[in-house]
Amino acid sequence: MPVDETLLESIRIKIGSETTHSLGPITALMIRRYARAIGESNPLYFDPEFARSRGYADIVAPPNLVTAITCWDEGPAADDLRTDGTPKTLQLEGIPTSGVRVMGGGEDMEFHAPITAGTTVVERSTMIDAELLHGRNGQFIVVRYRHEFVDDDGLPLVTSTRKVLLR
Amino acid sequence: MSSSTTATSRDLRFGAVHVGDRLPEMRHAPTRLQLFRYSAVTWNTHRIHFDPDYAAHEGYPDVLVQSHLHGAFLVTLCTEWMGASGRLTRLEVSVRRYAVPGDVLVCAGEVTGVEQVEEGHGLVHLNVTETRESDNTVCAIATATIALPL
Repeated sequence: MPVDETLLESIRIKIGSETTHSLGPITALMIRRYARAIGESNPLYFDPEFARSRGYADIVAPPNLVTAITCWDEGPAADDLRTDGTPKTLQLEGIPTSGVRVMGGGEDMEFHAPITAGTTVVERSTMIDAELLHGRNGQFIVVRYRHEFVDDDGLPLVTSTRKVLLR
Repeated sequence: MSSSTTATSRDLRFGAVHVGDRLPEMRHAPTRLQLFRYSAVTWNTHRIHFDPDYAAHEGYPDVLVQSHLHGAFLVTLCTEWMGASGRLTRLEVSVRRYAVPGDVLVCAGEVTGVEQVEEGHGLVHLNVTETRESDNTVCAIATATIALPL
């Protein structure tokens, strides 16, 4: 699929449309396992009494936990994965599922409030922009998404603006 | 080697921070085991992070450190420095080069701005980097903002 104005226009149709996913509760075990995986020993992530002594209701999630989780449900069956292991159905709204190479292009995260164990999280995702750029190796499209993670009362927790590059 | 417990003991205050201050460096040596656990806990099925044969097929010397794990190392640099009374409020991160198990990644940071705001706290702005020790390749760069009590 050529990366050109035609593809850009087909992507730009999705600008502004919002999708909402309930991600469920961030459990204490998710927090502790994530903290273990990144090599952390910060007691805010492991020790509820320490966390309470610092004014939190329970242990808190490392700041980039919610943006790092690739898949919030069981994911596709093995037959529905590509040879590279990623889902055949991309989770990013509005991007073609084949014929282009999709790469991450950086992330800007704002941490509004700590996420304590037991918090139920909802993710609202919006495509905010898409543009065609001319690089040394040809044209590429940059798509920007905003992902707002809020609790079930709508209180903002984390906002992530992510760039996705299509070549 | 990848973490310490200074977060419990530090109680950094805004007034003690100045532009040009450098954060204590932190070193991480990600292993295949760490990458496996990171893929598992984030339910990331991409073979590039756990299948060396697939990574070789793509032209890489080994499985690749996940971009969010690069980000997590930079988060830890900030949170260890600020201690439990600080709060990371922003991180804008860009991964520039890949890293593989066996690389030693050095995270470093410098204070670029301080900004007193209301409600009893100030904001500290930082430039942070993650560099491969063997050849000084910059693998990730970020800017960060931390809120500290006055």
